[in-house]
Amino acid sequence: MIFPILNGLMGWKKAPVTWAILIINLVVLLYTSGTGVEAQRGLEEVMKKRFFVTTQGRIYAQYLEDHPTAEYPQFLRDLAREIQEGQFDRAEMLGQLAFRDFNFINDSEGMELKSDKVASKLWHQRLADVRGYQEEHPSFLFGLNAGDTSISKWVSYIFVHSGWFHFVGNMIFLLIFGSVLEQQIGGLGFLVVFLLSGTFAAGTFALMTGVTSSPLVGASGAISGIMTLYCVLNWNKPERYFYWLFLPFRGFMGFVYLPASIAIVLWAINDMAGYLSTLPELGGVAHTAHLGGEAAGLIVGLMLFSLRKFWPVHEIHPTATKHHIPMCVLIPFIPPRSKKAS
Amino acid sequence: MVIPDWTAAKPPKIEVEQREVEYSSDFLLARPLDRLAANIVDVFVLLVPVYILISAPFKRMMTASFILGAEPDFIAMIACMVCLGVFLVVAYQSLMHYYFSATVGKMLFDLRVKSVFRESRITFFGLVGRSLVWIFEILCLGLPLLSVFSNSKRRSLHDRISDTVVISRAQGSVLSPGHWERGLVRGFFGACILFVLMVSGIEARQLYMKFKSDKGLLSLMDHETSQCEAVSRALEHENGEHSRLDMAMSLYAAGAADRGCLEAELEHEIASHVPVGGITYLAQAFVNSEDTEVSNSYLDQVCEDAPNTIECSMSKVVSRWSEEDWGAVEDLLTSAKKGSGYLEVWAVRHYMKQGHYKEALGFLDTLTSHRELAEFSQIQRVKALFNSYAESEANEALAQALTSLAADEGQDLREWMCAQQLQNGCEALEKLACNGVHPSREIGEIDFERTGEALSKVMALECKGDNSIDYLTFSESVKDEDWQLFFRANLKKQRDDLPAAFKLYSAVMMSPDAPELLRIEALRRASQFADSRDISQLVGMWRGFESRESWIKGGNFLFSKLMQKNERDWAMRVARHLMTAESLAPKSIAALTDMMQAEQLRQPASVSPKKATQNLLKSISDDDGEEK
Repeated sequence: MIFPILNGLMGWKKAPVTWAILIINLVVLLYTSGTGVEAQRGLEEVMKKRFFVTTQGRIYAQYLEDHPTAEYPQFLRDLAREIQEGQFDRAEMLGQLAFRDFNFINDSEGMELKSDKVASKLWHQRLADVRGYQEEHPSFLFGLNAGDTSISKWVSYIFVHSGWFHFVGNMIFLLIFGSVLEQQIGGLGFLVVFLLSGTFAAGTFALMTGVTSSPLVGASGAISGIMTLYCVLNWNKPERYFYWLFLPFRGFMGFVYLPASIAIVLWAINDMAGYLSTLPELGGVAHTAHLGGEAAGLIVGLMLFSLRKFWPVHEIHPTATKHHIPMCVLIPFIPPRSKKAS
Repeated sequence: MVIPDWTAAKPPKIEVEQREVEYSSDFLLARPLDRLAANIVDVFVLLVPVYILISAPFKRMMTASFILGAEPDFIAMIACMVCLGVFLVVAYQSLMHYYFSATVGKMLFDLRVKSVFRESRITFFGLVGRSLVWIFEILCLGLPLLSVFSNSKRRSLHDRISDTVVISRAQGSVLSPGHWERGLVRGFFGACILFVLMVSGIEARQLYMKFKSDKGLLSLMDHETSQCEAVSRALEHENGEHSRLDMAMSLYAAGAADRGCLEAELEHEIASHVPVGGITYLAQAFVNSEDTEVSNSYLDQVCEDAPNTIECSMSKVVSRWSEEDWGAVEDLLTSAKKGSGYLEVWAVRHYMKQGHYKEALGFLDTLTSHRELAEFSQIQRVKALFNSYAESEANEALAQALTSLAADEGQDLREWMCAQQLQNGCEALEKLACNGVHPSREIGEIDFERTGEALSKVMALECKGDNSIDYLTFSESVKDEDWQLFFRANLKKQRDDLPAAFKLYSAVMMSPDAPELLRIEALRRASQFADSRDISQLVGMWRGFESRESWIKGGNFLFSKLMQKNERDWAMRVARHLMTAESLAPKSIAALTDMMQAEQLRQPASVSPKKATQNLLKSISDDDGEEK
């Protein structure tokens, strides 16, 4: 296990923009957790109803069969075919996936489950409930989703989190990397990079995964950009990490100094693997948004690096200390998560 | 593996230092912990990230095949991922050891892999073999790796098979293991092997038992089918009069098929694209019975689609049943068309529950044409006859049922009847129902989950005239709390501590989870020695019985006991309740009539017998509370 410590957390005076971003996120979370609890509970209740989800799966199977030319992954079509042939145990899975298809949800008016009037009627009633809850849900109000892709959503989604774990996970990395980076590139520069990375992350997500009815929320794309930029600017400088080799012996736990660039490789591998291994219709973590943020950080970093004669970056590092032996185990630790709220 | 040339002179072995002194530092044995740390670095820093990345497409395909239920594809993907992992480990370790004599992890800890023979180089294929064995050792939960603590050169199986040794070039090194270290590890290793053998033995035995029983074998071979087997079996004897769904509904109502079976038939019907009818909606209502809103919506739809049909009547019956509007249920059952099978089954269940056994028998007569429901009919007929005090007919029905019922079902029915006959006296042991019941002194032989069996066996034991039953052992051995209370009550009664016994019997009667037969038996036993102070309490508890059957049987027991004790007022109160529900047993009616006649003799001559009876009952009801 390894965890970056860098120079520790910087105070408000040294990194005001970083702390301001954290406070904005916190305020938004406090505000939305109040208003969103009911909507979230309602959504969860409806989605737990097996009859509703199964019916939705069967109607979605009909919909996919009625739209043979529309662009859908083959496995969805196979699933729909199997359900139409009578394998209704798969309908629940397809029903869950149907929630992400904006076109299906949007065109649901007038759709009927052939041969079952009761199921159709109940499904429409429940779907209306879902829409009502979504209108009140902060993830849908501020998150980037297929129902609303206006410019404001490309920024507002950064400041919304789906819960306390999501928030804390992201903010730890924001404070560790942001507070150090802010001293190097200045508060304004930091803010610009943060917002730029977030927007770039959303763009990458939209291009590679596609915006669905399930909203994209969280600051992880922007924070990936911040972390990558930090690693690029300090690529060859030894950074302090805490490590633990799982063994309770002396020398198997402590601090180690490693080049920052190693971390970029590990994050990129992790996100690329996540992207390649997850079906876009199933993923809960927006790996492509992370990759987008990392790409933005890399581009900005390379630009600053090449323009360092005209726009010098402040040195904040202490002199590199000697490498500790034994060196650490670099488990590809999990970078901050961004979530697609359901 | 290096195959030495046996014809040539064997090269001399490296002189591994036995002590960590100032001998050649090149050949100091590596510390096991350093080797472990080096492996952790190799695996978690290098191999895992690379593996996650290169196996990602396979994982994606695996997820897709899992969702689609494509088992062969899923297994193929798992196989691909395993092969990829093995290839990665073997390639990494072999190449690194061949070119650098160390992996990255080993380099960090200054460890090197050398041939155990002096001036001999390790071959590439020897290193491939070494890696494969290393993987095997990991798959064995790393247990073979423990030999680094016992081997004199701290060589594990993979080292010995490829004639290598891991040495340390740094200051930190270790000596050959001492005797205590070897002994400890070998002892631990032996214990592990014993444990593994023991677990394997148990598992193998369980597997053997599973295969041995036909059921287990069938379940292993049985593939999921979209149709229910119980329905297919029942339809084999049918002349095509009933549809599969009709049959499934009947079997489900009779408890001969579960909800999964009904659901499978329903799905099969929907998939067949047959026109949807009232029966489909009715079946949907049963399948979705846990979701009240959905179930009610389907029930409503039945009559919209097919009014004036059996399905519509059935849907109304279910609706009224859920509202506990028993009067409406009976009206609907009486006026509904007959012939579906399931409606008649529900009617029988309703009347049995309400204690209206004559009506239940009437509906059972209509089920004679349904061969698939023969088992249900026979069991219910015996119970209805027995509960309506037609004991000789019940015995005949039992004799007939025992010839055709499955052994388990027959035994259950027999024990149910035996336990109740024994409540009237030990002479029941000679009757047909108790023929197969053997008193059991060994508590382990009694299945307390089956109340009929347990109670009949315990009572048969008591009937054998043996007063030395060890109720204490029984109460300590049984797991069920209600049975524990029952045995403790018997123990107290055996020791003549009657107040304590009464309290414990009362606890059984009041327990919400107590089996109904046990509840009645507790009431019967408590009423045997209850004094005048306890009677009021006893009557109160009896009136709280929720099951109609228990209430009727318990009430009649109570009445006869009160009559025996000459508690006339209390007996009349109980009788009044039972009479109101038309549930007074013939024996009780006779006793009541005798008492009425005696009472009439004491009345003035001007009062008619009818008036005298009314006066008597009225005088009791005036000071009695709410009627059941």
